[in-house]
Amino acid sequence: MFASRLLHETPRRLQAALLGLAMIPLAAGATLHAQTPANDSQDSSIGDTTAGNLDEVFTGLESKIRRVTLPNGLRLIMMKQDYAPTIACYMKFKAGSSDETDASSGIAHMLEHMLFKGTPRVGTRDFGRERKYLEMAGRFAEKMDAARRELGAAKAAGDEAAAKAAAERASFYAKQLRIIQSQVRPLVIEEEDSYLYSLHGQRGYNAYTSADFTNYQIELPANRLEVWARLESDRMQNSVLRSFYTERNVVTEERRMRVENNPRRQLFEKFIGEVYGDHPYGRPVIGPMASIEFLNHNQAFEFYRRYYAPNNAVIALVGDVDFEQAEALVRKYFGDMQPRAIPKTPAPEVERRPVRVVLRQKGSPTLGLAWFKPPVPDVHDLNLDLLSDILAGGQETRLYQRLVTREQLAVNVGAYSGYPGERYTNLFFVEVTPRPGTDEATMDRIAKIVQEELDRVVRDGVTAAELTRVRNKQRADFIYRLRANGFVADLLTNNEQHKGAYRDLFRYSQRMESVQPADIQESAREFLRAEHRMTAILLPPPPEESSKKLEESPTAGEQQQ
Amino acid sequence: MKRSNLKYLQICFAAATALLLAGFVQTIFADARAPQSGENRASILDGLRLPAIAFAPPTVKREALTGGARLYTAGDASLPFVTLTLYFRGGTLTEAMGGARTAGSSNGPGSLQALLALLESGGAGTQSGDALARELGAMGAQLKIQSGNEYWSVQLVVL
Repeated sequence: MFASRLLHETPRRLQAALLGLAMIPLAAGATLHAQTPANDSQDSSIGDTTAGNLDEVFTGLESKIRRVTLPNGLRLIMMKQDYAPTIACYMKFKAGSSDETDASSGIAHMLEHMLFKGTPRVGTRDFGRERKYLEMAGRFAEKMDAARRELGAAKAAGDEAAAKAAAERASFYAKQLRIIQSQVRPLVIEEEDSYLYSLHGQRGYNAYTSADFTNYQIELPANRLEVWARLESDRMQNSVLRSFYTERNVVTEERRMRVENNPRRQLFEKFIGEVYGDHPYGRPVIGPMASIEFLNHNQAFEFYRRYYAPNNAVIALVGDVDFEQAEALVRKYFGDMQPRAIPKTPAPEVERRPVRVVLRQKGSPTLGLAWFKPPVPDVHDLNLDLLSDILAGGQETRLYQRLVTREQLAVNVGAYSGYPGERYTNLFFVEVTPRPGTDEATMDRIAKIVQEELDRVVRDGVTAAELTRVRNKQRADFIYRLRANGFVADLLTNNEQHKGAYRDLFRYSQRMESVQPADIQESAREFLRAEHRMTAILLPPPPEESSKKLEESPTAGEQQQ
Repeated sequence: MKRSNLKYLQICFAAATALLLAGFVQTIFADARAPQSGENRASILDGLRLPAIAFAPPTVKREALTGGARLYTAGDASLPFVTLTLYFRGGTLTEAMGGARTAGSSNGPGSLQALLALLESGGAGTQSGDALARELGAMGAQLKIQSGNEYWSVQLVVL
């Protein structure tokens, strides 16, 4: 859990590899011996080496934490780790893509970009003069977008005259917008926040948006905490979202790069859309292109005002932190913010039904298999999290041995529990990278083998040795990563936001200890049935279709389905 | 027009052109991320009084082993694990240059990667690679084998 929980909440730069992180790296030159599967009742000679005494470690870690709730609802979690005189500062808002509407899909991520654009005190030489340009830019952009909409409608209706008139209007307002942008440019200091943080020795200044959250993060020398408090409290209250329409182009480019040019991402975006339908998790975090292209300043500002409230945020300060001084700083800079009523996003029940998405595009073949499951803190979530590692958390596991080593149908396999988020019903996910040249029939054969292995868990259960291995692995991986202050800050804020209690992070080990093989068997029986399996397949286009399309257009092969 | 007036106008024109150019240049570079040199403007961070930082680096002990290896140790009991890293001088820069590896060559292109792959999956002592991986996995140990231009390393992290 400790590591896998992170997979859907990775920093922005890693989001592109979202599901890929769940995959096991294939060791270079790894030998593919036919091995006795590890699950055949092999008793590990090692045993459960990490259980008992580590409970004391986790209790000790808890004692290094102080949690404070300000009168305005802002939660502050501080953890003392003084290996080095640095502090990781994470601020997490319960505001993600699942809080959007269809009309504003992508606004949470867009807003994350915009909050790096400054305030009346950061990023500008003269906000008094700049403000009028911002207002003018907004008006021209609104008219430009209206004309672009008319253009789309006219084209769809085949009305050439109306399309021509709309195109001219759109072009006119786009030019006006560019003029305003060039006039305001001398007043803007781009990335001044980044510059100021760099002057104070920052590392890892970044942000990410997920289905559930938006997170802002940085690491600073321990004596620069007030730099963070001053800049972040300003960002949280006073952002002006300058250069919105320039940044909108940046985000559309980001989508082109990460999704449109990535068949695997396209497959899973389409798949999640089919699986969840109108559910909040059905929308991609970055938003569909058709939505991003028309996002506007007002939508972003409304989302900002609605969700960026102290009672919707958690701050974690982890490192060489003096509790009294840090708390005083947070009270000084964040204490005056007013709480707001945060709307709850209703989510319909998911519908368990057969889903099969087949995308034919150039690229490595990919097979995704998914089943609905409950999110944390449901006990089945824990059981299935352990099962995902038993199935595919290493080369000695059931699925790896069967698909990669013995039957040699795949080059890699991974399993992950908890995609795309933890707020609502989520997915148990198995992703297989079949060998190149795999056809659809072989994909179905692989899917059948995965289901056979799941059915075997339902029928025979898992072994005590497998469960011990996974427990040891998860506990050890967690301990090793505790030296990274940013990792701990991210997990503390995740646990606080998901479960309302950061302490669960350190009690996971004990909860894991209580899980028995029969519990995992029961969860598999309940949630991983063949009739509930949903399938996503990425295959190259058929040869005749590729050649035909290539004759028609040099780029036509990119968008086949 | 008098000659002196013309000269005066020329000077004015040249000065105006220079000012325009200066403004143009300033406009071009005005979006640089840092405030302009000599720019005197208030910063949001003005007035901060930051305390001094205190840090004592950890004590590192250096020993020479009888085989010639140098051993560096640093104690830290705050978390219950040990990291052991063996660094070897070597790396891709020490591989022989050239095209395909010739028969009998022990350090041709790719030889380092072949060695690292063998170290990772080839087992140790009487244990096969799979058996070793299983045993390390069962205790939650991590084995990382890496290389750079000038070194290669084997790292074991274990509780």
